[in-house]
Amino acid sequence: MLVILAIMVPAMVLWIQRETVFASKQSHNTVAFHLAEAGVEKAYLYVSLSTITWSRIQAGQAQTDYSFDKSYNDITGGTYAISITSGPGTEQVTIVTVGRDKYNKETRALRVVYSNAIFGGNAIYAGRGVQIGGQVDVEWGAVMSPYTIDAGGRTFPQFWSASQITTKDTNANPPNCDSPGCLQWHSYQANLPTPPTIDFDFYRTSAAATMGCFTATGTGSAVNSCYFSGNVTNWSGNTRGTIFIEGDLTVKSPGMYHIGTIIVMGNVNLPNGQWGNSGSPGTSLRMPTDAWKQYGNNWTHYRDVFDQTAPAAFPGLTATSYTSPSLCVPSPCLSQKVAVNGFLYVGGNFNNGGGGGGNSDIYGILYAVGSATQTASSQVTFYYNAEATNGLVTTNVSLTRVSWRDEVRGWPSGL
Amino acid sequence: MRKLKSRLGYTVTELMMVVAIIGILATVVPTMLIQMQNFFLMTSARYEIQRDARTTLDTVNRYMRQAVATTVVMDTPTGQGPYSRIRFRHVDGRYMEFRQQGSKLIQVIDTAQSVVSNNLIYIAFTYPHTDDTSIISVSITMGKNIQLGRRKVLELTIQKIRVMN
Repeated sequence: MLVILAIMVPAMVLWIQRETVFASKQSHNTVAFHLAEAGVEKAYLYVSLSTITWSRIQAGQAQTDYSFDKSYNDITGGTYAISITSGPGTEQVTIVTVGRDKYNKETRALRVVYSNAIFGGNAIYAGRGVQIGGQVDVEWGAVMSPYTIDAGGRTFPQFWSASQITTKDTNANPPNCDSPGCLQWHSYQANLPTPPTIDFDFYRTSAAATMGCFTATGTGSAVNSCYFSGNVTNWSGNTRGTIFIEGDLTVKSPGMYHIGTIIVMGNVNLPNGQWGNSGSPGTSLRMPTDAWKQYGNNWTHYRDVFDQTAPAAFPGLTATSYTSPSLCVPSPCLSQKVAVNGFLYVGGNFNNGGGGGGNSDIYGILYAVGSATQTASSQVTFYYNAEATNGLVTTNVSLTRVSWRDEVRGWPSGL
Repeated sequence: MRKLKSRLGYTVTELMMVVAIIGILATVVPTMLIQMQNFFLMTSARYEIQRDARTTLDTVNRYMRQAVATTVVMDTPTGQGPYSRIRFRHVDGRYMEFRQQGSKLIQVIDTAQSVVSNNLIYIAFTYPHTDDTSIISVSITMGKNIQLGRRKVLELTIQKIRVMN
């Protein structure tokens, strides 16, 4: 009996000790993870503090206390350290945090990328739904809406919706993206990025301050910014700078060509497809380096139209071995008839549902608070311009999480 | 008169007491040993499945957090429990899967399979909020049979996991 007890009791003690070590290790690991998460939260708050902070980070300035130069111990259980750097893409920041439990036994690290790319690579964002039909195509950038998107059976670009994507997915049950690989459309997305809050007062003031525009009806040619307090019903001509229209905008023949920013607080109507000005000069379009990612379901189109030297098969969304050429050749990238070269904000609905009227291109970004209907029977092509929102003045930093991942990393040296 | 000499030996009473003690021990000790063994087995089994539950959830949690939410598919493998399989794409592009296969929890990364646990009784993946597919609930029951006494220990764990990508 004593012999048996002498064997069993130490065995049990050893067993319990081993289990305690396991449990303790796991507990420390969990604490370290939560500290790393707390670090991400702190970094997020710091980054979104102001547009000035964002600009400084984008300029590559090291941020005091956020460059693995400080050990935070404001949370019980351990310490954590934070690094904030710009990149990897434009208008992005990378936050790396390391959490360590108070016994210095376990560390956990997180790498999170946030984007403030205003519209996050979207050529078209419409708050009340998007319809793409007729002869309209969208190139190089995605289409996004919290409401229904009617993609019209298109195989490019990417479509992102918090609701259904007609012809692709009308059922909220997963999977809510195309198979395999979720290359093109994403329906019922609960976490679409919040659109930016544009500083309208700034644009009102700047548009009004540099008057040089045409008459209230919008006829003529202007070389400077314009401010209109009401509707503009017969717009045509070539303009540049900032155009601010408090009411609706209706374009008439022979169409418009604008370089810069147009802010229309009301609706934009393009009756009978009147848009691009036939007198507009040819515009060289610069293709974003990741434009190719929009063509996962129609790689042939991308290769045929934009880069015949591209890999034979779609490289995969996470591939880094390929980038789109910066200058888009051959035709149709050199358009002879461009309506907008820049950023177009529409406070109401955007309606390009007319008939013919000639082909035209848009090189920029369309942000409509209402719906965006694009069903013109004329050939209209939206080319996403990643630089269209450069310098866009907003009243907030609207961060979107691009990626979140665990990382194997030790505690920063020197801390 | 011949004096009685004391002789070495035991009295009847002593013998009866010894027999009684041995009898008691013979009755009690096996029962105690069985109970001790049961206790040891129960305790070790309980620790084992608790550890199993912890490590399983830790593994599932760690990978699922790094999943791309739009790629998550939950379904029922043939002959297994309802919604006992989850498949998704990791943020780094790898294909991943967790599924029940009898009493095993299988993890698949691309084409490589490994066993996360051998004590799985039940696992189910569900959306606790149908309007938010970035949150997934994982319910796990671990169990282990004890040889003696034919008893079973159980560990039920439920955790909600937020998919971060």
